Amino acid sequence: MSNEKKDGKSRRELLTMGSAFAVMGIGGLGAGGALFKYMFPVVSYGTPQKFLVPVSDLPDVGDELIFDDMKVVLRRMSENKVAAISLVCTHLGCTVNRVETGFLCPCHGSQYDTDGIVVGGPAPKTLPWLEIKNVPGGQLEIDTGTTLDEGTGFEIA
Amino acid sequence: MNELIKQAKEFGNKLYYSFFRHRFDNTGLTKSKIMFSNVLLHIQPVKIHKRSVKFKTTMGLGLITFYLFLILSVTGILLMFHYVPSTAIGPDGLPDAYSRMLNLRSNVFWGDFLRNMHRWCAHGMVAFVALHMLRVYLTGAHRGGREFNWVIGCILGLLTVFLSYTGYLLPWDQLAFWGVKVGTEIAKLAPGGALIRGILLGDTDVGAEALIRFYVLHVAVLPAVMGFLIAVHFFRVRKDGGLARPADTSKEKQIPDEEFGDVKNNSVFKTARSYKLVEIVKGNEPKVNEETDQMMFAWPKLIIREIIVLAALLAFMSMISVFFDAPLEGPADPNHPTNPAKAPWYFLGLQELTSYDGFIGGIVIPGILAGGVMFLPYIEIFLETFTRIYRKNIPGVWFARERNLENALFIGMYLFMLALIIIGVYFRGANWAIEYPWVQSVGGGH
Repeated sequence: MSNEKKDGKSRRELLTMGSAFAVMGIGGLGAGGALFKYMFPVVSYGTPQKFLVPVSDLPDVGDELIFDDMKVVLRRMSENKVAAISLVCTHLGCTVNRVETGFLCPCHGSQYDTDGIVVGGPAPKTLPWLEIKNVPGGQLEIDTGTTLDEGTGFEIA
Repeated sequence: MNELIKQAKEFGNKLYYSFFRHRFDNTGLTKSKIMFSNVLLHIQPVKIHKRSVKFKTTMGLGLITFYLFLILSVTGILLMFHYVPSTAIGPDGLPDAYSRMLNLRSNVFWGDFLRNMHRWCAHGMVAFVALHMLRVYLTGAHRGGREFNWVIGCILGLLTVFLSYTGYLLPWDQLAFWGVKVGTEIAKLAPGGALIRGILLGDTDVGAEALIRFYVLHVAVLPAVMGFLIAVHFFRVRKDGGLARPADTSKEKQIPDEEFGDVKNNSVFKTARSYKLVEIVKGNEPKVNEETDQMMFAWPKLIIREIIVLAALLAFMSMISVFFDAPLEGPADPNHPTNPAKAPWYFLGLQELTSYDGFIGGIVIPGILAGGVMFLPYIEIFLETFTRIYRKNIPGVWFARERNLENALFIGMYLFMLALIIIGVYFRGANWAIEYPWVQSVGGGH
């Protein structure tokens, strides 16, 4: 008799405590999830990925043009071939400096040759060669979001 | 007339006892009352062990760390009156946050001093957290029921570093921008790090949103968490029986009684002292007739020493802040880092490590070090339990012979970090190339 009573009591206790904790748990999880979504970025104010260059503004053969804001160097490889190389270090995102031997990173000492191939330092990958497209109006569109194999030039039609 | 004086005295008495609940005499009862009837003083016990006030016991490192936190809170709140966390370009062509820095430095009365104070105290706090941790480990005070408090201390240390990190973003200068840029790129390398990065930055890249988020973290979220954990940290020290000390201190040389001034015994029981006031805590508490001779009243000896430390610290930090300006680089340029782009000294060890490999140097090694140090007491317990080799730990004693191996390893880790920091500070030049400080670099100098 006393055992049953004790059992009944502990079962009731278990149910009460269990449901109380379950409700708190669900509430907590819901609030946590909502908070996570609240903190998550909704709108991106990031810089645009693509930019345009008029064909008439292209550098002379063998020369380069550096686009500071887009962190891109545009190289005229031959009369009708251009290439765009990103200046964002593949290590931890600093902007590399163009020097005679290629590119050097001021943050952690990554070294690249003139084609952006890693020759020293911690950089894990070649500097990205970027996709170039022809767009109407005699302009080239450079897409900093799309990476090509290194050495891939673009034929100006 | 006499009646009036009597009334005035009575009124004065009533006034006095509404502020204070005690007089200032030499009785043990008063010394106890002073301690436990004051909200600030009651954080400390009424009676402490005599060795607690000795310099070599703690060197005051934890206390100094706490004081620096207080100074940082006060100066930080004052700086908030003049700061705007905005990257919007103002009429002077500079981001608002940055021009507020220039404003603080040149226009605001005392602004330069307060900013210097805040920055140098932040540097000091990182250093003293490290020194305090070293002291605790080398005196074996992380064991004997204090393991969890060590973990809390490590979390406090990480919070200190994270507070520094969020703090140096706020001026929106070159150091700020590229520090956060590189730091969050490292976060990206960690598993799930891209998510954390997104939440920290509030955007795909470092920008206006990141500044607001770091600002809120720096002035509200992190200090609140830190304040709470400091309370827990102190509370546990009290509950663990005060500063760690050996079980038997009767052989130790103590400060002679005369130095503490005499204590008048006005108790009804002439032989009794105020042990009733000592709370029930774990550990080797003063047992009547055993350790009683080594206990002393915290008032006034301990309190005076604490005030001296505070005064000395304030004087020292003020002097530094008057003579040395806190660093401020050029306004943030998202296109070009400075060359070399160096983090503050306490991150240069990490920067040096990441300059060998981003993932191993930025995530793996710091992760192993931070985790290993945080759970060090538990690792020790684990090894002891499963190898059945119990190492004797004498809490509160420097460089205990039994712990030579552990101490050597711990000091070795400190030297390793210190070496990396020294390389980062002095031996890295433009493009992070090795450079010797005693060799004049080409084109350098004037």
